[in-house]
Amino acid sequence: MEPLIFLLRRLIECVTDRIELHGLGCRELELAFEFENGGRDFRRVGASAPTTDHKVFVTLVRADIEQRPLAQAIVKISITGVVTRPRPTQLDLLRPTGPAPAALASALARLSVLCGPDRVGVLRRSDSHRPEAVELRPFEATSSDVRPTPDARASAGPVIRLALRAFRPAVELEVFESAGQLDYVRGRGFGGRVVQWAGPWRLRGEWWTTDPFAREYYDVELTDGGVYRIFRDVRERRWLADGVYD
Amino acid sequence: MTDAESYVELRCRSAFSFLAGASLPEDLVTEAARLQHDTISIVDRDGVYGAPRAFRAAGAAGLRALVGADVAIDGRRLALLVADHRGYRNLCRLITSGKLRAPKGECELGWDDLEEHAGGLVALVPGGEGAMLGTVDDPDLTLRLDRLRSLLGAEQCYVEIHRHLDRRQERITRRLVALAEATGIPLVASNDVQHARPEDRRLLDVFACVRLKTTLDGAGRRLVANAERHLKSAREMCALFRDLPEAVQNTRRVAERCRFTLADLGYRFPSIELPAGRDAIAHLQELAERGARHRYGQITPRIRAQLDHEIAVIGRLDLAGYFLIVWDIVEYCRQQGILAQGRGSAANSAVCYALGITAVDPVGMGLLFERFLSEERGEWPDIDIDLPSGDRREAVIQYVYRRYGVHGAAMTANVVTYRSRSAVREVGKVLGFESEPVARLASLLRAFEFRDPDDEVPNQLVSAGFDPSAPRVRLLVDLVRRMQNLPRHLGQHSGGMVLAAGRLDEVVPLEPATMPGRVVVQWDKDDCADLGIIKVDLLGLGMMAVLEDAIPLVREHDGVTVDIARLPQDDPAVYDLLQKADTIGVFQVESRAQMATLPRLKPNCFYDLVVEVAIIRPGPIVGQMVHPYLRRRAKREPVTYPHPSLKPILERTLGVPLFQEQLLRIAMTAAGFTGGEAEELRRAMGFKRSTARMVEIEARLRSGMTARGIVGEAAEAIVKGITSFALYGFPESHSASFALIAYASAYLKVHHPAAFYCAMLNNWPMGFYHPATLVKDAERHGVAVRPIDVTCSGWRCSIEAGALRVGLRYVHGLREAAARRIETERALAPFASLGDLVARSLLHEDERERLAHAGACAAFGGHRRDVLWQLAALERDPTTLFGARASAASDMPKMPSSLPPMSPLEETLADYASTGVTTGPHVMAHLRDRLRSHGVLTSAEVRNVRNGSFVRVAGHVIVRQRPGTAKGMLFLTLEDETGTCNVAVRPDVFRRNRRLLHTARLLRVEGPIQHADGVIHVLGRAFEEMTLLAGAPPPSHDFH
Repeated sequence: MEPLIFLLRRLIECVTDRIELHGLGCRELELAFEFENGGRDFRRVGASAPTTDHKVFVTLVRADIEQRPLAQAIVKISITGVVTRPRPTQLDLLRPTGPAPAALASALARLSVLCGPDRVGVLRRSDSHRPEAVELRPFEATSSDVRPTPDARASAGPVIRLALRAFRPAVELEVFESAGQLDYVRGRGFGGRVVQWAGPWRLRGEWWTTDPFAREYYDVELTDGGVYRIFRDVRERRWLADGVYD
Repeated sequence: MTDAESYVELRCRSAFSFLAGASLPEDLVTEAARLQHDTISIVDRDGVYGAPRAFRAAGAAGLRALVGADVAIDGRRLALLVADHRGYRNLCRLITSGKLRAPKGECELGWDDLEEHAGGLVALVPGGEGAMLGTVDDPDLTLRLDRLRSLLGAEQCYVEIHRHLDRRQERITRRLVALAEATGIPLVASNDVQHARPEDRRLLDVFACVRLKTTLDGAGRRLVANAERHLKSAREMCALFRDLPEAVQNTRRVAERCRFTLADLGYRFPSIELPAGRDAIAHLQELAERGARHRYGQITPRIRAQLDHEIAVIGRLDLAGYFLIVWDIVEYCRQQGILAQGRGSAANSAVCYALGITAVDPVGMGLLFERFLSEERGEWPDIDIDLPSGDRREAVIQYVYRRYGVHGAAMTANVVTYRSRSAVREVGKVLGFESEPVARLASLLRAFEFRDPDDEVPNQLVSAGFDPSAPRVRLLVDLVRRMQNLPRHLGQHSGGMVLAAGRLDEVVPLEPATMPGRVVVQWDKDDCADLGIIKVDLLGLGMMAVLEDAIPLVREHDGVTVDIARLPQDDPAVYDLLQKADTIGVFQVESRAQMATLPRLKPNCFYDLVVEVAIIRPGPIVGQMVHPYLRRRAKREPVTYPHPSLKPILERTLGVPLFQEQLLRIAMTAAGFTGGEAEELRRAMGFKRSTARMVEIEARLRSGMTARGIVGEAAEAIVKGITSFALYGFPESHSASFALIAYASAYLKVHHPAAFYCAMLNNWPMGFYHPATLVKDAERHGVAVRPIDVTCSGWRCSIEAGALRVGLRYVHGLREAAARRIETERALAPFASLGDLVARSLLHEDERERLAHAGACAAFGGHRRDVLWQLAALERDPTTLFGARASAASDMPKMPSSLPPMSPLEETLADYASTGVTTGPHVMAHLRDRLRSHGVLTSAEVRNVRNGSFVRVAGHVIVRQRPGTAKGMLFLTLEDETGTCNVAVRPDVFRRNRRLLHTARLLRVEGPIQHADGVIHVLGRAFEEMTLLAGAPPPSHDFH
């Protein structure tokens, strides 16, 4: 490993130095390895923000190779830097500045080495009908100050939206029914007789996986004054609370 | 009527919405009937594709099927239901407008189109993503609803609401309810059905992924959130809309307003211009008279009686106009010099013969008119016309478009459905399997005619590298099974044209076909037939084109004028060729099975050829007629008849019924049926059998026979013969029409082989054999075949000094325009050099390389690799200074290459790779020395081996066939440099060697020889694939 990193460090430094000379940043390296047996391996290693600090990339490359070791003796290495123009950012007078992109990239690279590259990133909601589904996406240092434009706010109209405070993981419940109607709900820290309810809203999906879901959601107002979103897991035959409306 | 009784499902999308619906119209109707609905409305996307099938199924189930379509106006969707006949005409024209202006598969409609065709339609206006009323924050929603109301009228608009137990959808529904209240437009409920049963939702998701070109894992929220879009009972729907009872009640109001059904399409057949003072039947009679005098010379009383009978029947059925239209098309062909010949049961008609529509004399051959047309049947006759395939058939089709107008004529559609292989590919991709094992599995599912359990997907999983117990693999199997027979897309029928008086686009929507200048209707031929729309089949027959092409070649190069209609029908050389089964390329008798029968049947007159064409069909084979006939012909068993009264009917076929006409005549003679009743009997026993109908007709048959004293064994034999044979019998008239063409092609092959093979190669693809086989067959028949050469080859193959020159059309990847430019430039001045060719022909770089690889530049000197080297050295852009110099560069020094020339085997394989044919040695000739050292015999040598001897043969697999009637046997045809050799493989041996026998191109086979009446087979026991490092010959022709 070390002899390979020694070589790679030298090559990466050449690439980042050249990019820096042109006043550009490097956001990704493409590494192509050719093996003794004629095989090839191609991989991309990206930084969270464009940088020309070769140490960031060396760290990321090391983490990547540790994660997915190269199988054969290497006879040829080729490295290509994917460049980008540094983007000027208008800082906010009233808000604290974030870390410098290069420093952030470096920190993330170190975190990748410590935790593994597949365990560093940003949790985002997945494109799934399952409400709690999330996925880890690579961290990107973008401006967080994205506010709706006045026009967008106007077109949204006077819509009253309820905020749901989600329980993660969902809370196990006991639900009692009477004559086919929801009657009483009891969970950890809350519970009461059902005053009124709406539903069911059915969600069924991912039938092609080993973990499909089939749920019936209800909004229930309880005598404790709270309005909860609860659901029945049809497959596992149990009730859970998904959240409480603020 | 209670709410629960009043609910009507007004919006069901079937699988004919192509990837946006998951159930066939018939399944939706069946489920609706099970749920006790009395009405159903099929509303497919941009068309009424599924309407005829829904109408048919609904009729059988006692339901009413409403007609409608889901269309997008300015990209926003709404459903339009047909209220009355005017509405149907408008809907058809609206869809036609949108379809004809958009690329194939799309429909572009604007508000102006809707305004023009709004009458008689009821609009169901939904909300949601992409729908007319959009989502909750759509600011223009009221505006669009007002516009719709002003176009269609307040009474014709309904705000459509759905409840699929989806939280987000409910917000839209509430907004729509508020909107309806505010505008006074009534609400109507629907379930926006997209699949019949809840379990069909899986297929809906798969189709969504196919449409979106993604996998199930990647589709995310683009898939529906639950399985609620299935047909629900009225009670369930009322429960869902219990807070909005008027929305449920309005469904019944809409259904009651939509009185239109497909029972009355308003279709009329067109008529042609008649001479003044004459009606259609008188004009037809006059034409038939004139034609009969031309055909027969003298009209005998028998001919007169037949013509009079036919004219009387045609008159009573009011079909004279139809005959005149077909005559008009045939007349156009005659004027244009296009060969045209009617096929099928029309050849039973003396009127068709007299009009020149058919070429077989039905009076002379004793054919039965009732097989073609009868008063009892009450159906339109079916006249199919064979035309030369290609441009000449296209000219006839375009004539019909011109004659009846773009909106008066169109091709019928062909619904392409999912089969095992296509379903495996699509489902495999959607489930996220690697492409390689999916392709391997699809390749193992070759759909031979014979299918056994091994042909099913589950039994091939292991061979393809799948674990059958893995959950996703089990899903693959289940989804493939569900997907089969569902429509995939709409194609074009090979030749069926429908015509209408006035506007056809008021009867059925029209849309563009892939082929420019073609328009298709949204229904297939069965739908059209069911709804009484008349079809004329203008079928392209490759062999007709061959005959038409060969005649001028024979005149030019052999100095002989051949008249196909007047060929001597007793030419011994033709029958000698047929008896030897030397029939590669001969129409209808070139298949392996036909070639195996010819030496046994030994045809020696034209009627024998008629029998030969008919005998290798499922009917005679399944009915076990083939072997008795052949044994009687070889005088190995006596000729007997089930009853003496049947002797005149069966005498020509030695007591064995082979033709449908014989079956009809048996019923007429033995049981006293009329011609029409006999045809009714044939249909009752045919493919669409109804048990009740069969029992009734069999009782009539028996009572008729009893009345004529035919009882006991004779009666049983007749009943058994009729019931087994009716299912598959072949019409004698059709066989006779095909036999004429078969004879003509055999005649050309025997007497003018160069012209015959030249025309065959120019009209390929056609027939059973690959051009590589045709070229080698031509050589075996003494035709010198010369390779492709840029200095003398044209686009098409040609004849030069008696030899056949392969044309540039065989160079893979060479554009016709480029080849034509080569021809034009060469006509101005011969090419002086490679540089001269490159400069003047303006070929693309890859085209030059393909020509060099094919050896087409050999005339300039140097071997193929050398030419490739020279080409690489030439300036690529001829417009540059150096490129211009290259045009006069015959004096340019050649760039020497040190590349070794290709070996002879490499040249053969390069021929196959770049042209598909080789004029050099056969690929097996290169391997002969090695094969001989292993004791492998040639095809020619095998013919001299004693019956039962164990042999080894090897060859290029040119045909694979597993007929449905051969109990699982696989038949292979191997070709080598001396000819062809047949191999038969028993089912158990096939099972053990399945993959090899499916895929190997060069095969070595070991097994015993079987001789029978001059037919030789090797019974394959052991197999070995021979691989060549440098390439492979063309793939085999596999019969499905």
